[in-house]
Amino acid sequence: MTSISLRRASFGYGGRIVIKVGDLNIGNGITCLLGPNGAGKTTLLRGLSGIIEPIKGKVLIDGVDLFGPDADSIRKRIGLLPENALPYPDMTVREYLEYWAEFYGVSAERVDRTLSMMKIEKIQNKSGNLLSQGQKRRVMLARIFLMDPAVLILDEPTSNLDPSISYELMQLIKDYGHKIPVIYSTHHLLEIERIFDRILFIDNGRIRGDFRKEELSEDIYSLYMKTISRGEEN
Amino acid sequence: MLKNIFRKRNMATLIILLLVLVVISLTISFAPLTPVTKSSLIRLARTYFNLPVNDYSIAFAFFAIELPPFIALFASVMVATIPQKTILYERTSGNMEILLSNYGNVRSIALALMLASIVSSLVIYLIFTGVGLATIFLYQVVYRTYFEFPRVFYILMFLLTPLLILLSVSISLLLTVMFPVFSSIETYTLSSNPLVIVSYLPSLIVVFLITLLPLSPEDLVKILVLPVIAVLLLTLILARRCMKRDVLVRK
Repeated sequence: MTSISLRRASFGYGGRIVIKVGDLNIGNGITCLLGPNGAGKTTLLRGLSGIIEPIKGKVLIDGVDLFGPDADSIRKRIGLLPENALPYPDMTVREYLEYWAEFYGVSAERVDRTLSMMKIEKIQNKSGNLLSQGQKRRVMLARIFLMDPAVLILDEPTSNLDPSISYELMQLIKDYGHKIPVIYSTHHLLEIERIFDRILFIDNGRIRGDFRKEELSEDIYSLYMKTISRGEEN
Repeated sequence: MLKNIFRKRNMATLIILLLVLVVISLTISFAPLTPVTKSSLIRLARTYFNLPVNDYSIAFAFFAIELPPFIALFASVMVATIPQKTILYERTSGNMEILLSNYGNVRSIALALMLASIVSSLVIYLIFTGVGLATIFLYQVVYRTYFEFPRVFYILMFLLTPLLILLSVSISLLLTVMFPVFSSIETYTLSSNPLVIVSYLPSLIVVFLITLLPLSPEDLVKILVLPVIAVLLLTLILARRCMKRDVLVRK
């Protein structure tokens, strides 16, 4: 079982702290980062995925410091889907996946399997700039599934997608949640209501609430309404 | 990489470039020339190229001698956009975040960007030069003539032009890595981005100096070699140190 741990961690840009987390452990299951726009979700996600270095503290995946000397192999198993991420426009879907397969050191067979798993074989020769929003998101997820991800980190994965595609993606994410930690950032509670195992409420650069599925209660909804309405006021 | 270079679209661009060069060389024959320029071109056509003096041979002499500065100018502008375009695209497409997440050492990304930009710049230089020389070769075939280029042509084409291209791409690399946010400034064309303009400005000034002032290209190359090597080394050292994760992803 993979675990992500933060030790007295704070993240930000140019030395200015945007989110102060402290200690946090995330295990298997779907952990949702919920909060209004500008709360610090994306910054936390960037910290958890090793994009930005913590201003203070450490980020550990399975005990390995992401900024330590032995982080290379674990980093190649971080399945990150940034918000609105796109495949390269002048590469075909297959070329894009082959490019990443080479980077991850996986076989060409794996590309075929991933194409079929993500149901994108029919568009494998289409260029990135000719894909629809849903197809682009599928290709970006396919890139993640090329490797054997130790953790999935998804920033607003269903934004701008039509409901049927969103539903399919949610099912896929749910399946992965049984096997590895999935961190899912969103500002829509209804979107993750059915799939989450844990919710971290983020507001104003702090984690304001930490709820497990079994604790689902009115508290979550009232906290959600409070933070969202505060976010809208700002 | 070769596969990418020889894509249909790139080959079409090459053919267009060749046509542009041919059109420029033909257009020059109708352009008004000052008596001094005309007499220089007549001397060039007669002495160096052993061509009979007529409007076409004068136009050709002008084209042949202006080819290196032309390449230096266009290639310098073009290569200055490479690092900026790369960083801008990686940032807006989210691929920069994926790279930063998958690479522990941000310096390897800086090194990859530097290598890719420098190699692409040299490829652009080779393509421009190849197309230019092919145009001259075609002229020789069509007019059934053969000539040696003056020494100055070789200095301009094979020393000064690559130096200016390297200068342009080095400055652009350094500025892009140090101030990636500037690469996102929206401008009508990529070449009018302030970061890109600052990068190709020194090359532009040198090209104007060669064409406007009676400077010896040999001396100019001697003057330029050290500063260009210094800028290139500075880029190699500083770019890897200046690349910061949080600066690369900050909106």
